[in-house]
Amino acid sequence: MSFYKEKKQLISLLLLSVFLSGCTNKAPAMAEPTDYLSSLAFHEDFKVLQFTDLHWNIETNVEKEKAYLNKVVETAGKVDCLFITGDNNLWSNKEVTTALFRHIQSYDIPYAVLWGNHDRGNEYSFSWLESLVKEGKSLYKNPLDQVEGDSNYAVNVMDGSTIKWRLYALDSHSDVQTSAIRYQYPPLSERQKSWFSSLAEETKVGGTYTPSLVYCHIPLEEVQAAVDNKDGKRTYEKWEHLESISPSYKPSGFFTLAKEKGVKGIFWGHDHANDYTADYDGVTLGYGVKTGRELYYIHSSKRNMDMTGASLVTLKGNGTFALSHLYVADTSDYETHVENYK
Amino acid sequence: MKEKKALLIFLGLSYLYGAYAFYALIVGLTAQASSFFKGALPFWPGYLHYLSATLLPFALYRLSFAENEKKRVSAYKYWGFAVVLLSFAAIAGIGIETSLGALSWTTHGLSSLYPVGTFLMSFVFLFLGFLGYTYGDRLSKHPSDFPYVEEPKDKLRWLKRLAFVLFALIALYDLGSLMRLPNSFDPSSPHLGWLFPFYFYMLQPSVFLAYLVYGYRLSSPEKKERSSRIAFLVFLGVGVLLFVLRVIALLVDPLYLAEGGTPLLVVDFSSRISFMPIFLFLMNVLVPGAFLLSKSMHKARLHTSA
Repeated sequence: MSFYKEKKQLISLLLLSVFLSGCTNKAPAMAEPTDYLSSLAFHEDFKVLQFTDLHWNIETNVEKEKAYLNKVVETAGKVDCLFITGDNNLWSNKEVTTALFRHIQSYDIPYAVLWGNHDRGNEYSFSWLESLVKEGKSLYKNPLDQVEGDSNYAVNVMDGSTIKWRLYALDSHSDVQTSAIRYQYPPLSERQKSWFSSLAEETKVGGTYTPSLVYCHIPLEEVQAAVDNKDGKRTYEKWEHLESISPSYKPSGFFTLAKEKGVKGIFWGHDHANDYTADYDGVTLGYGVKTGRELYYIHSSKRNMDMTGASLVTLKGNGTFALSHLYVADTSDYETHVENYK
Repeated sequence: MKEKKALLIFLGLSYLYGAYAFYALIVGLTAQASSFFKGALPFWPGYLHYLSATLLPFALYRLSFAENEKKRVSAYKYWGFAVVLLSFAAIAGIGIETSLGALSWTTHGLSSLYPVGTFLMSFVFLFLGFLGYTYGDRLSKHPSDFPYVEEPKDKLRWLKRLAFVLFALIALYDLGSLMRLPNSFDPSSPHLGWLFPFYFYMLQPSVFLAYLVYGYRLSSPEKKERSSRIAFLVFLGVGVLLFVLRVIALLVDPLYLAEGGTPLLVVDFSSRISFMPIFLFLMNVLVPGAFLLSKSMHKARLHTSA
C-alpha cells in the first residue's frame, strides 16, 4: 500500500516539477557583450535609412508594396544600413512576412530589425520569425540573456579599429496588463538600462563616449515634454504630431542615461500620424516617417502630402549627423518630397 | 430519430469549421476596420462565406432541438435561404472581382487557399443551404415525425437565448483561435508553462457547450438532475483552477500573454483592452456557477415541496 502511495507522490512531484520548469523566464545564462554586436565600415556621410510601421498583413497587396519600398530606397540613394523599427507585420501569415523580408534582403543592404508591439500577433511562431530576419545581411542579434525583450543589440560603425558611431536597437516591448481590462506599454526595464549602460561603457575613450543613435519602437515620454516645452529644454522642433503621443505608461528614465552615455539621437515609430522631431536637452528625439499606407496613415493638410515614406540619417565623421524625411506617397505616382531637419 | 442523429453529427462538424471561419471573420474585419476598409474589396466574398459558415452550426442547433413542426419547417427554410444567399453572393463576388481584375485567383491573404478555397467551399454551402431549404419546403407539405423539445416558457427566455448566442460566438472565436495555434506555437517560448493553462482556459467554453448540447440536453430528466450537478461542479472547479493559474501567471510573468499569446488574442491586443480574459472568467466560472446554483435551488425546491 505504502509503495503505491510513494509512487503516487513521486508522479505528482514529477508532474509539478515539469509544470513549474515551464513557468520560468529565460534561462539565467548571460551573454557576452560581443554577442550583441556587429560591425559595419564607416565612411563620411554614412547613411542609415529607417523604415517603420510597415504593417504588412494578410490583406497587403505584396507586389504593390514591394514597388513602393523600391521607390523609397531609390529616393534615399546609396544606403549603408537599414533600420526597420517595428510593427513590421500585423495579422500576417508566413507567406506575407516571408515576402517582406525576402524583399528587404534582396536590397543587399545590412539591415537591423527590431520589434514593435504588433510583431508577435501573427500566424507564426516568434522563433520562425527570428530565423527569417537572421537571413541575408542581417544585423539582428538576440543572445540568450536575462535582458527583457528580444531585439536589444548594437551595431558598431568602425573607422579602422575605432568605433566611430554606435547604433543601438532596443526592444520597447508589447503590452503588459496593468489593470483588469487595460493593456499598456511597459517602460524600458532596469535590466535593459544596465545592459545599455555596460555596453556603452566599452565605447568610452578618454572620458568621452562614442556618439551613438538609439532606435526603438515606442516613443520615450520625453517627446511629450519636448512638445510642451514647459521646462524650456527644447531648442528646436520640426514637423507635426497629428495624433496623441503614446509612450510607456510610466517613465523609464532611459533618456537621462542615454544622454549621459553619448547618445545624440533617439528615433522611433509607433504613432503613424506623427513625424514630430525636436532637439530636447541636447538630444534629437524623433518619429520616423511611417513606411507605406498599411493599417493607417495620415495626410498632412498643412503640407498637402501623405506622411508616408522613411527617415534618413547621415552620419558625419565629426560626431554630428544630418536628418531628412523622405515623403513618398504610396500611390501610383509616388509623389516625393525630401525635407531636411535643419 | 435518424434525422436528429444526423443533425447532431453535422452540428459537431459544422461547429469546427464555424470556429475556423468565425475567427477568420473577426480578425479580417478587425484588420479592415483598423485601416478604414480601404483594401476590403477583394476580401468581401471571403467574409460572406465565413459568415455563412458561422451561421450553419446555429441553424443546425435550432433544427436539432426544434420545438414544433412549424418552427422546424421555418428553421430549415429560413436558415437554408440565408446560407444560399450568402454563398451565392460569395461565389458571384469572386467571379465578378476576378473577371474585373480586382481579385486574382492567387491572391491568398485571408488563407493560403483564398479565393480558390472560398469559391469551392461556397459551392458546398450553396448545396447545403439549397438542400435545407428544399427539405423544409417538402416538410411543410409532407410532415414527418421528429423528437421535438419543449422549451419552458419563462419571461427570461429571450435573454437566455441571447446569452447562449453570445456564449457560443465567443466559444467559436476561442476555438478558432486555438485551431490556428499550430501556426504560431513556439516550443522554445519562455512563457510556455503559463500559456498551456491559458490554452485550456480558452478551450473550456467549447467543451462546456459540447456538454450542454450532447450531454445535458440529450439526457433523461432523472439523469439530468443527478449527473448535471456533478458536471457543472467539475466545470466550475476547472474554471476556478484555470483562473487562479492565470492570476498567478500575471504576477509571476506579466509579459506571458503579450509575448506568447498575442496571436491568440489579436482583437484584445489590437484594441489594447483585455476583453477575452474577462469573457473567459464569465464563461468558465460564472456560467457553470449559475447552472450549478439553479440546479441546487431546483433540488431544494423539490425537497421542500416533497
